[in-house]
Amino acid sequence: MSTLLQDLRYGLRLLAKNPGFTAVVILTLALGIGANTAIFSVINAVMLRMLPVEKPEQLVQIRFRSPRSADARTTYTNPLWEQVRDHQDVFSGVFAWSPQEFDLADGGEARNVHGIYASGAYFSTLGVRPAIGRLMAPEDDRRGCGGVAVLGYGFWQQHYAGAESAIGSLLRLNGHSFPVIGVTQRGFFGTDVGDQLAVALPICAEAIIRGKDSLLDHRSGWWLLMMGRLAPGTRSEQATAHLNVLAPQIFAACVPPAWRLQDQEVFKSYTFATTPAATGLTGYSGLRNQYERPLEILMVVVGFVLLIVCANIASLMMARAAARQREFAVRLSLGASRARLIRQLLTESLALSTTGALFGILFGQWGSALLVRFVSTTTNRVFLDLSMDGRVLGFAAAMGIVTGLLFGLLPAWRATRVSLTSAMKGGEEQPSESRSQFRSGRWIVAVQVALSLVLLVGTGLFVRTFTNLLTLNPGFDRKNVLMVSVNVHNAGISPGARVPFYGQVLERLKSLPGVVSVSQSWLTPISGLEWNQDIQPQGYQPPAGEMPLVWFNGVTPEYFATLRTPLVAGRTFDSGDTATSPRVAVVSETLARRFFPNVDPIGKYFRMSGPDPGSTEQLQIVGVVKDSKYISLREADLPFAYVPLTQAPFIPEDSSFEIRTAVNPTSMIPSAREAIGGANKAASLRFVTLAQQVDDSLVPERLLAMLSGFFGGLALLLTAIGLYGVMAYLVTRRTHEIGIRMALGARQGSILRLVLRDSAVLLAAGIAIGIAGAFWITQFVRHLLFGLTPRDTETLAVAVVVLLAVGLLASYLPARRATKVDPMVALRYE
Amino acid sequence: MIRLRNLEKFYPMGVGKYFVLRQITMDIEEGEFVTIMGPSGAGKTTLLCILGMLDGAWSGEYYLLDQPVHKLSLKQRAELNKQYIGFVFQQYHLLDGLTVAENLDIPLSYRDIKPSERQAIVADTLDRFRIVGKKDLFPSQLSGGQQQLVAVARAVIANPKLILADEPTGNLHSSQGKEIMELFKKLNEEGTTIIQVTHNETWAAYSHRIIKLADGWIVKN
Repeated sequence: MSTLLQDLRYGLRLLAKNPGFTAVVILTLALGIGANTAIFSVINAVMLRMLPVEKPEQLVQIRFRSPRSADARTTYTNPLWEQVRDHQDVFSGVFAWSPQEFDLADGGEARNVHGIYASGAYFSTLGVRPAIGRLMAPEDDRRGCGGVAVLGYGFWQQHYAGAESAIGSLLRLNGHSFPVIGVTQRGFFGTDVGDQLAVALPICAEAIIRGKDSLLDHRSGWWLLMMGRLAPGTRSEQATAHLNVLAPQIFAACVPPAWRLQDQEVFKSYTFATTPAATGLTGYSGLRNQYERPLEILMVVVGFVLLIVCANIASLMMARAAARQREFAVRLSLGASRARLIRQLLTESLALSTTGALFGILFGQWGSALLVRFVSTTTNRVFLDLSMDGRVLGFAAAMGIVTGLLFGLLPAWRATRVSLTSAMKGGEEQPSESRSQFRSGRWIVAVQVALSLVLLVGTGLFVRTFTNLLTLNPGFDRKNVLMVSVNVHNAGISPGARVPFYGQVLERLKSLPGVVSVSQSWLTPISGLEWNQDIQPQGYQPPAGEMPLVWFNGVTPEYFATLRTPLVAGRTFDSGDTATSPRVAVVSETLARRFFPNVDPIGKYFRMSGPDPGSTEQLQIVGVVKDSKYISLREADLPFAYVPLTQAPFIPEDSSFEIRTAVNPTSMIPSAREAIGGANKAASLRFVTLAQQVDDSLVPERLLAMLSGFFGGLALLLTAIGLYGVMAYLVTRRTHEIGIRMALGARQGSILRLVLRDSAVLLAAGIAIGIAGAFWITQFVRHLLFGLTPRDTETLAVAVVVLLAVGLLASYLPARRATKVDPMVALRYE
Repeated sequence: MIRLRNLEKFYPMGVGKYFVLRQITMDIEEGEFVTIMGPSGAGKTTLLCILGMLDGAWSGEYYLLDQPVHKLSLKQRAELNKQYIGFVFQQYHLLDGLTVAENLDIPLSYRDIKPSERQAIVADTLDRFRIVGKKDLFPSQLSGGQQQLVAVARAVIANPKLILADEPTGNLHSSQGKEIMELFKKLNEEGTTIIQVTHNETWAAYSHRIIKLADGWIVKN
């Protein structure tokens, strides 16, 4: 131990004597380890960290499975939840909840907060305690309740400044008042990883907010998630077995009446399944679903960057060790063993790497917070608990040790292979030793080149995927379109009065200066919402097992002009398409091609389910429009049908308006707000531009493109520095030789070629390894690419050219210096 | 103490060999003070390296305290070196980053001696060589003579039976050189065997015996 401390003391003293070297090494390590820690922190928060509740390992998700499908579903109807709640006896506690956005504003532009409807036992089963007041109890969640509100700690701090007077006050949500009864303990963010709970209402309060549209008795409204706490000593499999004893009775009691008879029979044979819910990895997390793969890829990317950092530092350490040959020889002659010297050098490396790791933890904290801000969108603010825990600290510490060994071991191994006679003969370095060390340095640079090429190819693939998506023609023109979602629930507008109200809004928006056209629709493109159902196209016999599934939207006649979706054949809707006229539809080219091949679809019919259970209605196709993206830009063109809003089966309480503007669309928000407010001040409004909505759907792609671009650039820079360092060292070592060559008549060009040939060999070796590596590794990102394959030759060629150009530039500088060697000076040099 | 029989050292050169030492046969008794002399390239330092087990590639027989070095593995030779031999170099070879006391501590730390014991030995040695006042100075803060004094102190601190000194006064002026040679003489009188390499006849006169080398051969013993 004392010798270890002695080694450490000596190592620290040496590092302090070389502040430039030490600072460069620590800074690059801090960046490398920081980037790794940042990504790992986010992975930890999204997938590994336990929910902030009591004994989270006892929690299980309750899912159910259809005998027709291997996938288990997670959302339940309220009748199903009530059946499970009232009949299960295997869990010590069971609860249901549903994530919601609640509007704090009383009309006008919405101010949404993330909340949940939760069953009465939600908090008690989770073991969450109140910071002040009390939390919801089963008595608060009874049918016909008046509703109470429990605040999240962060929301309480932000909106009530942490005042205790919040208890008993009334909180307005979606136009209704709820008395605040308590605040959750600090650190509890809810059960959905990625969201921060602001407010919880009992499930019974859903009837207050949604009124007649309440889903409490709805057997086809799937909106609740369920979790149970295993009783001590009970295993997940036992709980599943118990639930499945009850399953036939539970599902039979909740059969959706609107379903077809055969589907109802299948429903009765549904079974339950349970899976651990303690972490985001297996629990509930929309964020995990969206970012699991990109985060894994980024982890690999920053891992590569750290390897390149290690390679650079190893090169530096080799050069430094070469300058310490005499010291090692003396130590060996004084009785040190080689193992002891290696230990001393590794102590120095580990001192550097652990210091780098300490700063890396700081960088990691900033980086992870930045990353979370980056993945937050205008409509979805991501919350993650990024506080330091043992796992992140352990990761950073492991990074510190592993990097220290990585960049320290080879130089230490090499440096201690020293000739002892050199110590006796004055300590000069033997040429053979220097050559052997230099070979290692070259080998390290070749590996750096290979790693950089893999990263550059990855960067190229992700950047091109992103640009392919950005430049893709989605079938609509996203520029200069402002969209406003109008919700009339709080405005007291009855279903019968909705059509005239929406018509009034349409007219008011049309009359605004700067507006080109306005339309109304049920859904807007790439909104995350969808409406699909099976149809029966005229004359079409689906192959066995195929369901003729079609995606729908209800729109006003101006929709196609406003979104600039071109008409291919027939007509769009007009004023003649009324509630009483024959049902009509405009379909996409894909629908027409799939269900009406080789015939003109105009005038053809298809049947779809009607507004009443079991009823169907017939629609005639009057027009065909270009395909357009519906759920995601990546999707293959879907069979898509538009129906006129005037013939829609019902008038929803919220509707979207698309406003094409001649000016910056966001500048229209105040006048649009005022125009709609003129029709009804209590209507709740949410504005977003179509470009922003499309943009928000590309956050994972943008994240990958930007971060892999940044780290690819960093890798290129580090490799260039590494190459420069090795070539500069080579030129210094060969000054004498170059002097002799020049004295013998060598021209500058031949000296330049001599040096550049060395680096070209290194680059070629690295590039060859890199191409093989890139071919192997990029196959794992195949499904994240769009519009290109993992072995895209153009991307590979660009990456190789960029790397060659940068590599040769980095070598040119030392090579140029070699051509300036004065033979007289060089020959006196040694 | 040392017995060499037909010791040879060569470097391969093309298809032939370049001999550095040829058929070296000699004996050095315990307590002797021997000087090796000869022109540059005669093989003096190479012989010293072999005696100190810094060079393992040679042929012939070498016995140190009746132990057949030629039959020992490199690791066993390193142990023998640690146990019996101390070195003094022409360029002093003190470690720049360590203080005088720390430089003295280095050989002890490589011999697994307890820290408390090491501290006591270093303190004794500092006192014995009258360099207590310089214990916290770094080599760069010392004169050449003082550095060589510390180097000699470092060579003897582990109590070696044999000191190998390669031109110990080569970088010193005469008064400093005399001081070092007087120190060697004293150490030798206290029982330490000393083998030095020097070009200087005056310093050679301190020894009991002079061995002369030329072109790798012993020309006078």
